[in-house]
Amino acid sequence: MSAAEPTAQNPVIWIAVHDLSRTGVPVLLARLLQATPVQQRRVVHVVAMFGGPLLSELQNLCASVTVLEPSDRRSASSAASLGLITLGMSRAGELVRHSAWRAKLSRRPKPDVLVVHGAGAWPVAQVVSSNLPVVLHLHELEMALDRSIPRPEQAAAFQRAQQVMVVSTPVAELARSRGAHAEKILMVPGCVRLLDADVQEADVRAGDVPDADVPEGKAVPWVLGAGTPGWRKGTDRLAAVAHELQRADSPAQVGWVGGRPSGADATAVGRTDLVTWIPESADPWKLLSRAAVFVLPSREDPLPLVALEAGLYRRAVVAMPTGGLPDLLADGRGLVGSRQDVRWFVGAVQQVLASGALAEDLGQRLHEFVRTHHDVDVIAPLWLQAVSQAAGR
Amino acid sequence: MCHLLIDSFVNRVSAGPTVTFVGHDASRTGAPVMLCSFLRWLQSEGIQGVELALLAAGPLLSEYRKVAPTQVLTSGLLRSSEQLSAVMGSLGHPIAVPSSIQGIGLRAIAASEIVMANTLASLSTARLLAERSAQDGKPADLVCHVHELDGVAERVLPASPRVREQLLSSVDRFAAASEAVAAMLVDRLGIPASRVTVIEEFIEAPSPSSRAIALARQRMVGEANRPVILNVGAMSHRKGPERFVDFMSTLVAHPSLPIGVWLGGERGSSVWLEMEHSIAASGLQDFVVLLASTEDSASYIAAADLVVSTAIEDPYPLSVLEAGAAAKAVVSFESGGVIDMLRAVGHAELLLPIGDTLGMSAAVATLLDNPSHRELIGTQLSEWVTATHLVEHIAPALWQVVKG
Repeated sequence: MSAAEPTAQNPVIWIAVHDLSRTGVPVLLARLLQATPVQQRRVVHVVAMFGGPLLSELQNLCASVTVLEPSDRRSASSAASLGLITLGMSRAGELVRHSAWRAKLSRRPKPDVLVVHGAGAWPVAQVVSSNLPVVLHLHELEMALDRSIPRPEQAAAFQRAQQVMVVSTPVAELARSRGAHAEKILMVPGCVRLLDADVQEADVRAGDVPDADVPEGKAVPWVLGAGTPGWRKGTDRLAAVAHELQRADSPAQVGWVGGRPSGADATAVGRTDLVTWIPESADPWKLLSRAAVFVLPSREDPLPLVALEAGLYRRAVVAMPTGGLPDLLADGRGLVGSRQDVRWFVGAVQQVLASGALAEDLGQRLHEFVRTHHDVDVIAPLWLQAVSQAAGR
Repeated sequence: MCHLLIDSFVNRVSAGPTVTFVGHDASRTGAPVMLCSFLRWLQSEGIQGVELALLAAGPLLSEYRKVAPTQVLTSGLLRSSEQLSAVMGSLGHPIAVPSSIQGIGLRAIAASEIVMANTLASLSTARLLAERSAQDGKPADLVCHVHELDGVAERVLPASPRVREQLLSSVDRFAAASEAVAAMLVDRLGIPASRVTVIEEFIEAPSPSSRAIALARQRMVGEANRPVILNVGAMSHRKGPERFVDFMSTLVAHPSLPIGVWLGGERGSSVWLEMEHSIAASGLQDFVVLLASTEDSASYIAAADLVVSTAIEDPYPLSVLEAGAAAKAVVSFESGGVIDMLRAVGHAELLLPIGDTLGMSAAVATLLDNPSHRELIGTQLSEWVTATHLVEHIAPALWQVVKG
């Protein structure tokens, strides 16, 4: 798709995103763009600070995608910037980086509005005109927000934004507490594509999932979750679940789609690890849809897309209480703790494993709720309308 | 690989060759603390010709300077050349700064017959020093005391397999801090077993005053009559602070209302903030206390009722040796030397698979319920540590490896 000049009806929209990994925030952006009319997508330009596997998909969904920094090494400007910052010349370091980014963006059509899709992309707001309307779509809770936008700069960031979209009520409360005016805040939660999911669900029922992708032992009940391993997603807690299930002689196995913990989170080489770590894939639900229990052991998660997707596939969800999960899973739509408590979490997993009827009931209730409240064909127009309004069109 | 029997080193050592030790910093963490103990022992033995070069300073610096001439290589050409290499490498254009240029940054360090890197992290610099000390074309002997396991080794060793192999093959002798470290060196880093000797970590006998112990107890639990479960370690995910908070969340219903204390780390660091978040989200404000690193950890260990280690990778935590010396029962995830320690005293049941939080909870609850059993284990550990793992037991073996 080639770039097009803006029309009176369609403002030029720049959407900044931190990276193009196959994780919640970029995946939601792709989903929203898919549901956006083609005519309007032709004036959307994505600006990614870093690349990732979603690049080609997004290139097909908008006029252009500009990646500012290479993912596998430091760019010359970034290295120079870092060097200057290390030497105590922060201002000069920022200037170097910003100049390089502006040069990369100079050939893109002038924007009418900048959507900062996730606080991690806020640095892009610093290289556009200070008069440009900005919409901040906040997908972060406290720890992630503080790492993305330094705490002392948050109030100014929320002041600058014409509109602050939030994905859940706790995110809205956080935005308010950090300086966003209540009238600027708009709920734009995560969403799913219903049609695709129903088709795939039929496939699952027909047993048409490629066996090669399924963890060994088809008869084994799997406790599965998905995401980027680490403190935030609480993947260290899976070992506690796996060991307790083993102690109870349960045949269930614990697995995680999204790769193995690395760096300081990696278990010592050669020590017992009962968790099956499965690499990320373009379609994780080929595996995840087989879960007897879908787990969300997160410590901080505003409203994980995988929780909504679990609903599409009628999976029973057991979750730690964080972000929008208590609301999503209320009224028998899942099991969610009253506080972050590993003993409760393990017990809840065992409870679901022990009762197929409970699992089915939880999955069905969540399915109905997600269909009603998180349909991308409802959410995307709301999102686009808010962006257009911010652009003054 | 060799495993020096510490009993064979009953003879006093004599003055030896000139040795330059290279440490990565002077933080109050395991490897630097142990090196400080070793240098103090060398001093007490009257061994001359020892010098220390540090890549960075830290709170132990003044103690180091009491026991050996110490220089900090913080701002010389060495660091600049390392930064240049790192920047160029990150740009995809790795360069090798000629060692003659890098060596200029080390010119304040006198040549010596032996250079010993105290960690893998300081090995590159130690190698430069060894090459600079060459006599008749033969570099000084290079020794590396390895206190790291795979995760950290992967991070601090050169990424290029060829450069890594060159670096490791330049080492004449390795001292491994535990059997697990030795297995990593031989099985996974390909070092001939004949060059590796297991020299387990050791401590100086702690002797905190009763007043210091009382103050530590006061800081941890106030006036309350509640048992203290202590975990000592840097605030990094490798030490498992998030698992410690989860572990404490499983004990809130225990009738003794135990308090969990994490001692170590820097207030305001990113992991510290994560732990504060976790404590609040778990409703554990009355059950978990975070205390920053202190030079007086022995007082806190002595004031605790029980010591746990939630580390997911730890070659040989000194804190569990100190806990043993203080006659405290230890419960730990199975990683590194703590496995050898608890097995040695016949209490392998206190080792839990890494991440088995509920298993650790059950083991600790049993000990909380049974103070006499807890004391018995503490006594056994104390006897073992004070008989085998004090500086005077193992330092002679380490000195033997250094001398070759």
